[in-house]
Amino acid sequence: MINITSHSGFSLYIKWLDTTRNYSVYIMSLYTNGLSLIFTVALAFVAGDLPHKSLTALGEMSTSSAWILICSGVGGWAISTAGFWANSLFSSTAWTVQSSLNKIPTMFLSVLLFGTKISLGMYIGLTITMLGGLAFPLTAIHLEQKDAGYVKLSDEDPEPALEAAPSSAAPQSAKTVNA
Amino acid sequence: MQSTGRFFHPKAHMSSSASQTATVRDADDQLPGDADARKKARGNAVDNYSSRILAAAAYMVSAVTLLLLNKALAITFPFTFTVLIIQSLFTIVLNGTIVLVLWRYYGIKPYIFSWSELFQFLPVVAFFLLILFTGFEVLKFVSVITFVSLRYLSCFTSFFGEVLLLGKPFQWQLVPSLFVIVTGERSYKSESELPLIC
Repeated sequence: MINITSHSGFSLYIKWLDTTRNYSVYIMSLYTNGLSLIFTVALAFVAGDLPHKSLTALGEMSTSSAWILICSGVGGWAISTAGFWANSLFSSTAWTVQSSLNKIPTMFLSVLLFGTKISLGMYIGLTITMLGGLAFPLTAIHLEQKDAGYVKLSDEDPEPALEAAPSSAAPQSAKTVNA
Repeated sequence: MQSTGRFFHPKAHMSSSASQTATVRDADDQLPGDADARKKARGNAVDNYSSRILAAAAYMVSAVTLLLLNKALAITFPFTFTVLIIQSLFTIVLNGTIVLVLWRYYGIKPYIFSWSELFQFLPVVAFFLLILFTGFEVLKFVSVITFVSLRYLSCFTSFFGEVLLLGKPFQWQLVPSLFVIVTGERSYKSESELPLIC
């Protein structure tokens, strides 16, 4: 429950920061990780990981485990930056839906890599979830276009109103692109 | 280029919607009859969807990879905080490098550090640490599948949070698809081996 609530709180607060402050994704990621590093180091000492246990384990680590750790570091950077980027482009709910749907390929890979068993009922559940996951963005896009008064933007559309009265058409054009 | 949000855009301090609005308004300033400007604005609108797809794909790939790597690490290197420290260091170094490269080669000035800006990120850090730490801890006791199935419930909390806290209008049309997602999760979870928490 803490994980679920935190995930929603994170996406909502980031969205609020994004709409009110307009930081770049790199700066948001940099600030977040810079601050979290301080707390994480403190927590590592409290938990007893540092200074000895984890450093000893790092020294005795096999090459393959070291590579996994390095990849995890790069993966941490990737998910942080891509997550902030996606959050700046999506709504908070859409971002959470995306975060949840990210796990479906993880499940299939979990079956392949860790030998986790999935029954037919599980596959049916996954299919229903994927359908919901497809329906959500399609509905959201439809609503966005509807809200914006939907002016189809294509090369075939000559936009006669824009040609005839540019001053009145300008806000509508801006609004449409914002959608 | 403009509609990639604040990923590569030279006006990196502007929001994606603000930069797009500015682009179209710039284009409209050149009207009447500036077909190239209008075409550019239309292209940006189309690119906006491309950017979303690209962002979604990047986020998905990195999330899947990281979850599996964390699962592998939880077995061989069960020091949650040390892994978090290493991931944070990588993020700081890589993003710092990107910011400097953008400054050096594209002229995008980095933000001047200020404590007030930094403190705004404290709640982010609190949520961030809770997500990662609880994620790590849960993965020690349950399978990846059970962990994943529980996370779907956050769609509803985010949806209502957006309406109640961010003032977004309630769009009932989105609710059925959220129900479908959670229904799929429930039927999936009822078949899985660990009826945890819910």
